[in-house]
Amino acid sequence: MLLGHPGNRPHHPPLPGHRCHAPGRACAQDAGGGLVCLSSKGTVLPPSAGSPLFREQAVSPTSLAWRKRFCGLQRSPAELLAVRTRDRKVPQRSHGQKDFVPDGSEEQAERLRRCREEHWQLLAEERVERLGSLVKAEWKPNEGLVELKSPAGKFWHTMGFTDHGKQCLLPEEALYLLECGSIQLFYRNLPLSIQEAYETLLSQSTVSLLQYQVFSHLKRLGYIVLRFHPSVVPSWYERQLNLDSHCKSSGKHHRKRRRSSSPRVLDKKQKALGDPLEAEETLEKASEGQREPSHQASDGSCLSGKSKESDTGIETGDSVQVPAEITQHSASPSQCQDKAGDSSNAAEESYDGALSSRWDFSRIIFPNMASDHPCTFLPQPDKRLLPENVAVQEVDATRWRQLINQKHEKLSQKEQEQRERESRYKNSINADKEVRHCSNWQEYKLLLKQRRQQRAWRRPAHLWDQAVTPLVKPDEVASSAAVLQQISVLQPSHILDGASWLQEDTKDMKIDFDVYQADAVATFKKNDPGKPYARMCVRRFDEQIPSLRAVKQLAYQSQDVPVVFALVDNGDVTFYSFKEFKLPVDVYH
Amino acid sequence: MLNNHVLVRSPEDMEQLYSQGYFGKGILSRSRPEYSISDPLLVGKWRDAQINMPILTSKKYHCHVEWAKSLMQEQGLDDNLEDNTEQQVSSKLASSTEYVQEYVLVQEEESSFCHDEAANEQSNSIKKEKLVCRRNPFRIFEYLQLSLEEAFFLVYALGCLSIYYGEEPLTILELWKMFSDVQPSFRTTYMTYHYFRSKGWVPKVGLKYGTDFLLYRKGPPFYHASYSVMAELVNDDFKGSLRRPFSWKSLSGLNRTTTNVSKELILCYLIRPSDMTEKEMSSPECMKRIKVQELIVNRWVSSRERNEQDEL
Repeated sequence: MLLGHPGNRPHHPPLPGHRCHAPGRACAQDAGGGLVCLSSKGTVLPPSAGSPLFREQAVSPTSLAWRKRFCGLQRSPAELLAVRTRDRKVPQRSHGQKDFVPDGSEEQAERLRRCREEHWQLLAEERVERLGSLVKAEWKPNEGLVELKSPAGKFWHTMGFTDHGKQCLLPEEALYLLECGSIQLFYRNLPLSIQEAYETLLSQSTVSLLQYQVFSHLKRLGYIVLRFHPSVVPSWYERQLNLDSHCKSSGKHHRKRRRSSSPRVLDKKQKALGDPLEAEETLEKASEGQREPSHQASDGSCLSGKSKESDTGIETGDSVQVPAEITQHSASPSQCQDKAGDSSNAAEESYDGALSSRWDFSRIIFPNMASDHPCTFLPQPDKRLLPENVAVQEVDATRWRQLINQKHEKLSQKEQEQRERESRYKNSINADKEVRHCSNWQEYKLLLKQRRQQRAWRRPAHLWDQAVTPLVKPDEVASSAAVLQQISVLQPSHILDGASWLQEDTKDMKIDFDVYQADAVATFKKNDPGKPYARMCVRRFDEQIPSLRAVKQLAYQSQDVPVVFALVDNGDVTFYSFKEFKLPVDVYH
Repeated sequence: MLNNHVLVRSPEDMEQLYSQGYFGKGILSRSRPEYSISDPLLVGKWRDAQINMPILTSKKYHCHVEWAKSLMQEQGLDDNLEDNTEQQVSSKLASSTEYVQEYVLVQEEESSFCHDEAANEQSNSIKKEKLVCRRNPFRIFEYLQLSLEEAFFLVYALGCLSIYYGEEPLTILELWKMFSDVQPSFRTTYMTYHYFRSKGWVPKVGLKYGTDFLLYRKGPPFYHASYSVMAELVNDDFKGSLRRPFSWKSLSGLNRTTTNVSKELILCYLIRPSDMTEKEMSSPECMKRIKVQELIVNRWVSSRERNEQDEL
């Protein structure tokens, strides 16, 4: 019975000769792990921190046992037999009901003493390994790596790497294996005890203690944990081209090829690389506007221009694309005016982001070829606007305009009848005399306003005659969906919005590990691990939660893999993540 | 508007507001304004009689009489409750101009033992109970109290409420300013409220679970709240002085509470462009430029069974 203590119980003592190769729950937790992180979530601190708890561990029996063996002390056969036949069962976790308050009685003290003794016995159990099965490794402080001197065992499947022909391990991996009892770590020809290994291998330049705790926690549960390398993350562009699945699926036919599923929800601020793939994007995405950080066109014109752009796109290859073409195809009577020209050019500017602003669009004139403004003579355009080797002369567009069908259309009988029916209740706005009196848009609006005010319902002045009026008119409500539409003024934002240019100061938070699920062990390939299940960012539990900025930065670094924050609190690890979420619209009341 | 609260007095309006959108809270009820002075036991007893007036016990009626008397004494009036003075009292008690006398049914016993307590009813052999109609000398009015965000939403987004301070109606800009003075973080909470309303969800106050709002899908009577929301306003570079800075400890505590009541915790960030001036913020039109980012806080348990791994 322990006074209200949850405990990090060490599990089965490992079988002699057993190696912690396959991460599994059965024997991977071992007294080695439980040794250093002592039962009551003991803090593992380097001795310099001066924690008395740790000093206790410093002279733990097991580390002594290791030392003894390395100094050549072998176990006698009788002792080995004793170890082998040792009781494998984990002692009972609790003896009776839990006591919450010390009551100073003898019984309680006796129970406590017995529990503690059991605990000590468990911890003090020696771990016996076959000398031959221990892989020898050497710590190289200059490189911060551990080099294997004898061939690696089964752990090689998921851990370690090859460097110049030699098998190496990262420090956290080596420390973990040391705790499992799979390797023997040497430094300057002397074996390192676990305590020494902690001190030497975990430092500023390698891995911190917190990160190691998360690493070993996850490894013990069976996950495959690798270090994070930002350069290996396939970018959005690569994923759009399905380059990443190409890398992955070399021969693996069970993996379905994804059809550019990622771009739809991604970053809208990507630099427009001007590649043809962008035209494949949905209209909706395009019309939300890609704001170029570097160009000067106004947002409004950009938006309208862009939606036009995606409409026409590559397939129709309309005249909007290149200025030089406009002089050739003069047939489209719509929007050849300067203003529209500017906007389409501004949009085009954003579209060919790479070739930005070579032309000064304020000085390039686009002639109005519409029927209301007969301009039939097109002067020769500026040579600089044209591609090389293209010579263009002045054009008299009269002949072209004649080819345009400007005749009145003759309606068929059916169409005429329809028109007649409609004319009974539909009125042309221009047929109204008062409307014809209005000489500009402002007057027209004033007329509309007057008419509205003549209607019966009188709206409260304090609401409607002010600078800021309500969003919805109570008498003009069509349906609840329409109301929702009218009051939605706040714009949604995506987690990756604006994240691409936040990358400067990544000193606060960075991703530490890639985590792969335990199920993937069988098919795991070290050289080509594939997409991780999650990425870990290790933090301390008593810190502030990351700001939105940090969350965005990490999400951007990690692209489509969720980022999980691993919080360490004295050896206990909890995991939290922030998921991107959009509340669905609930219309059907 | 009274004492920095927005109150709705007319019963029809209260009914309409609550049933068509679940705005506000009755001050004498749990949520829906359904306070009635009827004694529930008596209502059950006289159910068959199909009465539509409140029923009181005689004891309760006497309480009302006492209260009315003490009120009149405070006001220095004659405390003799006759019919004509009742009229006076009532008009003093009621603050609205149209006052309708409320009639209640009081259950009184006809018996020769005048001062028996109700508990001795069973012991007495014959005691007839009858309902006597009397005027209620002390009416209790229930109002609907709207939170500042709800009130502003009704005025600004739906245009169907007018708020008077004193006798003067307030314009939208004045309301915006006044509410921001009363509640310093009004703008942030209002914008979040508006956003969730515009998605068709009903946000109610989240005081019970330590957050700003609870989101109900169609309204409280239909489903339990699905989400509980904390709102923050940040600048364009996604940093800002937070209303409620969380440490991981407090976040995990809040997450734990929220999970225990089967809700999900949403952090709602309102991103405003850094060039937004204070002047712009002084009008609700500033909302057009603000973006909303929602994040759900999710706890991942690493030691689940392998074949039950959740998708993160």
